[in-house]
Amino acid sequence: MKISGADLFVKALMEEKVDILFAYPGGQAIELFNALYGVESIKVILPRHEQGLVHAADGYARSTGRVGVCLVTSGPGATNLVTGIATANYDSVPLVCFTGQVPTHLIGNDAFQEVDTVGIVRSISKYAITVRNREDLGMIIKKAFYIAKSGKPGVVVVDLPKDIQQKLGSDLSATWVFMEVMRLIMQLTNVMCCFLLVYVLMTGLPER
Amino acid sequence: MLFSIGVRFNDRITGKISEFAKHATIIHIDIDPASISRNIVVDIPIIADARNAIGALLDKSISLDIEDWKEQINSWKQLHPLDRPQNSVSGVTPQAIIHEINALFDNLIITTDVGQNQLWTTQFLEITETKQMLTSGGLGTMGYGFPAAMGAKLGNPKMDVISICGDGGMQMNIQEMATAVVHELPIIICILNNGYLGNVRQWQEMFFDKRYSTTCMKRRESCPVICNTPSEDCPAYTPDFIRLAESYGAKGIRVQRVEDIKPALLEAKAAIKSPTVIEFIIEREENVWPIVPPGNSLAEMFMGGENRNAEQKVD
Amino acid sequence: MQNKRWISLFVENEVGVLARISGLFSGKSYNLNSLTAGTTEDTTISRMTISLTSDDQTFEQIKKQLNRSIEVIKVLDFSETDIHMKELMFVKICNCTGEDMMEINRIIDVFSLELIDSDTHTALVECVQTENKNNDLINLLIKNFGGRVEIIRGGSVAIEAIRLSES
Repeated sequence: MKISGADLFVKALMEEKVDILFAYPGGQAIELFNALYGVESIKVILPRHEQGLVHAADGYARSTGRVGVCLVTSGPGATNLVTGIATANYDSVPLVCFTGQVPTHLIGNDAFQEVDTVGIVRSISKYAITVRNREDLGMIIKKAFYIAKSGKPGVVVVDLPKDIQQKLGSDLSATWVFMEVMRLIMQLTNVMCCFLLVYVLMTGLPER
Repeated sequence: MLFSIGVRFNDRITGKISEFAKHATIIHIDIDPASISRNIVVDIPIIADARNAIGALLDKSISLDIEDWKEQINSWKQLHPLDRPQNSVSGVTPQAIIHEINALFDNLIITTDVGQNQLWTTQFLEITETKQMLTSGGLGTMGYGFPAAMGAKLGNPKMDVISICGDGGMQMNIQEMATAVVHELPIIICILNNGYLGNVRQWQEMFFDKRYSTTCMKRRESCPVICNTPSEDCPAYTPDFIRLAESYGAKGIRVQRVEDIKPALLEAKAAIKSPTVIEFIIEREENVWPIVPPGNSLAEMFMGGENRNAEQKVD
Repeated sequence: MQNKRWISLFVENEVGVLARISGLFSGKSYNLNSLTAGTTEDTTISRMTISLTSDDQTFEQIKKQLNRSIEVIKVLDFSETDIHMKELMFVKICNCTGEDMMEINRIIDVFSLELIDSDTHTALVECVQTENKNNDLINLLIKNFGGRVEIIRGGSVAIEAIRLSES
């Protein structure tokens, strides 16, 4: 089934078991907020300044051990996060910050509320990326959470252009990664061995 | 021996690097190889997740009788107590406030802002299994503490959450009072109000002949161009934090006497649905001691009351 | 002691990786001499050859910082490795007399270079050799032709040797 990038964004957050989202809306993020409207499993906290929201996500992450998640719009929304991103990254706090961005065809044209978000945060974040293709969205969100919390934790910034948010595409998020891994395994072994492997994985998983 | 876990060993920790722990064998556990032996060379680097490393080490460790060593440490603590004599008339000192917090709260997350409030908190706060401190130790961001406390409360609704900040840092993200009120977060905001950007003011007192340049938060157009003598005649503080808190729909309590510290904290602790701002009026020129001036070794810390070389360089 | 060092990086072939690597050097004031980058037989992977100058401790830190970057797949330290390394350089010498042209041809023979373009007064020489040999050549050309020499250097590309190496 095809869903919009914004709907996939919400689905991916739910699969990451995000319970609190610190967010401040704007024109280039309005699709994402539309997708979040009425979603009960994710509590959205609206601060009064983006710096407040990123520090709050930082305090949440430090005190719970979970990844803090932020969502802001493009331009000033993103630049207002800079201090908080640097603060968190310096102290190895896992955050994933989603920033709205102008549509891909307008990037680089000095559009309204456009900045090179990834360029600005590159030196103060663990990883930063602009999503350029709708089909990469699910994988990038999955990667973002993994990178934020693994090894030395840090801040990951995912820049989401508006047209990517609007575009219809696959509704597979984290499961897509699993399918890709399975496809690779099937290439290496024959189908019978693969089914055996799946059976062992499903029944033989140790308790955490 | 120095056993360090996840330590950055940056300038704020080491002081003058050539003098730092000169005779120590240093063990350093860190998950990031780039942090190992970056500023000082360590003797035994362990690159691992601290949880795994400590677990593995504990499995192999033997219990020693360290009662003598603990006694030795206690005797040092008696000889050189951290509590410094305070100049305060009212008794409302950062020490008194934090000691009271230690006594009244068991399950606690405490955030600090940056500056003297941060330094006092790290000096006097008791950290136990049920008490956690969040602080911007790396970047040192003013305005961090209060919103971080909000995030901590959202993530840990059953814990008491206190934000300790100065009057400067609180104003950097004061707009979040609205967020705390509308989301019904009963956090306790303790503003240590000395009417200065205290840490910089202390440096100006120590190293710049009390040239309080752009550090006075009470300063108005009507003040003399040069002023380093805070007094009763100084203008009133802007804003009135209590009225500001109330305008947001939060509770505000002003504490100016030592006997009011405990009741204020207890009242704030009892709140269920809204934040409480407690404004503690502390001595204007309250200082943090001991302090290691930049470029000095840790052994050259100032305890307060010394004659200092006015030409001490600050970098 | 400051030494010249070479490293080879395998990085993800993604937008912004070059900016991340060069930003790391500039942000931490590491002394970057040259940097070349290009794709490999795997189009998702690029390879960079980096020359830098640093002391031992800083060099260790640089390697660790590079390894820490998400986009960096592998860091190869070429300090103790036999490598093949070449740099592409173009040199244009202008306002040449007949004698100058003869001298240029002699130099081309000695250094095994290639004259790829010319007219009666200008010669354009292509030099694909080690950085040191290019340095020697530049010194020679400037000594002989002074300010009439225009140089563009491409930075070195290096790969591990199989058996033989050149310095």
